[in-house]
Amino acid sequence: MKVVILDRGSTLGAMLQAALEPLHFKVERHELLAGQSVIDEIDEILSGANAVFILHPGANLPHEKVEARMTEIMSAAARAGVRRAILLSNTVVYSDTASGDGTIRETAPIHEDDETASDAARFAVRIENAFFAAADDDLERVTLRVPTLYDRADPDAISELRSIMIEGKKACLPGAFQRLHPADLCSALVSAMRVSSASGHIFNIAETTAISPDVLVAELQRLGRLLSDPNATEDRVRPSYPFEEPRFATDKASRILDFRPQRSTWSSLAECAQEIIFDLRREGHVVDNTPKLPAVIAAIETRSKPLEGKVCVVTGATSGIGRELAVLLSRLGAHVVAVGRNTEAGASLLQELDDRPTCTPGEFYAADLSRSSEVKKLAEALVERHTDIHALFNNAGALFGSRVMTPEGIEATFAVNYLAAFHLTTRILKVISKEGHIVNLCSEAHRRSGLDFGDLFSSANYQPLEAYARAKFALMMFSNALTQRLERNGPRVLTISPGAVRTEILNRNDLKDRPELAVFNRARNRMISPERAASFVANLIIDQDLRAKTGIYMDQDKKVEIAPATTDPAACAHLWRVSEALVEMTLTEPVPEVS
Amino acid sequence: MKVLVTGPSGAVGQYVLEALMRTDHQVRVFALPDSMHRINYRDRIEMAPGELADPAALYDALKDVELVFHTALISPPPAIDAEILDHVNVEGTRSLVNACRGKVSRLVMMSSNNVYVPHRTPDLWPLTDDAPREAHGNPAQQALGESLIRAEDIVFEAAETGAFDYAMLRPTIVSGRKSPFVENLITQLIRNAEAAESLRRMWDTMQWTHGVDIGSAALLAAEHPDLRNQRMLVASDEPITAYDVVSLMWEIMNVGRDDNPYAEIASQNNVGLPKFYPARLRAAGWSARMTAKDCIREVLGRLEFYHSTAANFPAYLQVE
Repeated sequence: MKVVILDRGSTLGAMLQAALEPLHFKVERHELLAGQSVIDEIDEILSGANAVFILHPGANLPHEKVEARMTEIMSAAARAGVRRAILLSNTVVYSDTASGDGTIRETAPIHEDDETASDAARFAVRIENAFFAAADDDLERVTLRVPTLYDRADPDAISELRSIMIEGKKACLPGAFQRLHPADLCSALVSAMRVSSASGHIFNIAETTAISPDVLVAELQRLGRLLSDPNATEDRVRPSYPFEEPRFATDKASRILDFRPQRSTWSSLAECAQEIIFDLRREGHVVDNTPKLPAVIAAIETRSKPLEGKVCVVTGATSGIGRELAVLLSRLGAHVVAVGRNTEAGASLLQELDDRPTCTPGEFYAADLSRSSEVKKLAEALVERHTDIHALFNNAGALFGSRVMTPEGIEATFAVNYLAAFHLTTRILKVISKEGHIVNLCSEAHRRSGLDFGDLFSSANYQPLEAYARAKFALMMFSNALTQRLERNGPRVLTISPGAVRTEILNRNDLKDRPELAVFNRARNRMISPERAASFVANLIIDQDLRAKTGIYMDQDKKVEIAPATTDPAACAHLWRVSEALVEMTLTEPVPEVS
Repeated sequence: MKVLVTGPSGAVGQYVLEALMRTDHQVRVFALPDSMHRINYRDRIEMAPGELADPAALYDALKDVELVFHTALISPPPAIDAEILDHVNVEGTRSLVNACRGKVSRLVMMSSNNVYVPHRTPDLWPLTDDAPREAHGNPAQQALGESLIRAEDIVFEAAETGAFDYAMLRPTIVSGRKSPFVENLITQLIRNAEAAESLRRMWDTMQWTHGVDIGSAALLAAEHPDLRNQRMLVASDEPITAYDVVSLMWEIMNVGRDDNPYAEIASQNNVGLPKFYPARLRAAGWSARMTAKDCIREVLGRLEFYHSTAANFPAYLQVE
């Protein structure tokens, strides 16, 4: 069956079409305002049609012209043998005296074409009159009188609600507020076409409940807060509001058309409020809601390469945080110089960097950082190959289940976690860019420790974690001393504690035998991943908010106070001298001076 | 066309398999040997036993296959740890992608809406397909998000190097057979309707998607030209909270009555706006057929709560 929709290109027409097509109607839509052409072809358009919908005849044309078109459409419909015509009218037709006894029924008086009525009301009345003129034909006529819709696509409806949201009650029209969702209007229109007993009737179509202006203002403002402010948790649940007597009686539609609105006032208002907030946000009156991502994740997600062409050295890059850090830096565009002991794991890292289209190829140096001789060799190779290192990440770290001395006579925990970082940094400092970064991976564990210059190698009462905490304490002291020496003229010095990370650091070097460490392994599921830890570390050199700062200490992604015990200038200077002496002792030549 | 489904007995895979039974594709499934008996339509499909970590088994399973539905990904019930997530989601996908390289024309993968940035508060709604990704939440959710983001990246990068086309589906909470989340929620609420407040706070607004609808989305994603190499949110239209679940349960158990005592509180707790808008799938003509009420009705019927002595019905949750 053919159905014709005559409208002014509104979303309602499209919705009605979408509602009719699944019911196997052949739907044709024409724009009534498209010009004279529609009227010229109206006989052709209506031929063979079973029903015609006349939606929004349009207020942009002179009234007489629209009225004339209406008359032509009706007579054409009668000529074409259309069975039924459905007019979408407006509740503005009711005269001001209509609501004298409260609820307005369909039989209530409507405006005459007089001067007291508003322009829109007079227009709507003339359209209705034209619709019903010449009612001696066989055409069945159904009129739906509808209040303003909760139509988020209609700028007029939205701007009215917007001024109510912003200005409050003074922007409200007097009286109860009763409207309708377009989806419900659509189903009413379909019923008006299909229900045979509807012929010749006028129906009020509106939601069945009404709210007072006070409730409208309160609810719109609650929605405004909820939809613009992430912290508006007290606005999350809607309070219970009182309902008002409805302005328009809809019982006739409910009886004859079986009209049952499915959309609640509240969800319709929420849709409109969301549209208002979208507009306000576009205009800059509401804070932007673009997700605030950490700089690293934002760069990875947008595939931007902030480190393009930069050389980054990562020690301990074959597993754990270091490996993830190497991959991450490479995805950010950096040329990664990976350092590790395990050549096989190093080769597989390089393979990954080569294979992945998002990564940048890097290079690998095999070195055992617990030995000063290897650190020296590594440093010399780096200095020879690179003149402008952007960042050095002193990441390599280890714990040992029992006290181990390196062949060079240094306690292994101290050698790997501290002395290697000291040695490598001081040796390659001259090739680290002045705008570059030195990042030392520390641990919050250092806070409950200290450094005993009389027993740097933990020869009395060795505990793995205690030895680790001391070495990290020394690393903090070194970082602070380095910050002082470099001041503003050299690379930034940054320290970070990545938190408890799901790595193998506690499963190696016979640590499985230490029952006091078992508790850490039981907590693995609550630890963060190496990948997340690496993103905290990489963030230090990417994040614009941190750019200007040197000598800061981060606990994961939060800046925290540096332990005062690690900043004592005398102790730091002493540690520096001791470290130089230790390196010298293990090598034959002295460490270069740092100015 | 010959298609392969991985994870064919899972919460999503079984519905993808079901959807494929209505097509003329020749279907092969790749499943762990000990889950073969839980696969449906065994008389109409070809079975390839094996695990994703085994390249030889994958090689055999992929013979002549043009289209792969990768649904063998897991999400964590409380006991699954990060290592297992990593093993199945990341390494499994890596192995599958390597085996598919240059052989299949399109790989349809089931990721999750868990990969998106946090989107809990209504000022961020509606979330759409191309929202940025960031693993978030409690440690288990964080680990899931990380593993899925890695798995997705493996597929994206393979597609970039010309291995195959992909379609990445990111469904919201999955309802249907074998969906412990929805069953747990309903079980908790039917035993104690007052738990609705804490569950509302915990899960806030949800938009479940039934496996049937995910199945149809997967078929569409496998064929539609506009969905080639796209990421797609899969979500029903209906935002619900735990209070809506109670209210809908009441409606199901009290057919024909309209004095639902939970209707008002459910409406107060529901903002009425969708949290997710699956723009890409909607543009391709997909929409969800199963409502939240259908999902709840299915669970109530299956779990036979009507006969359960463990269910502590409040007086007003009348049966019959």
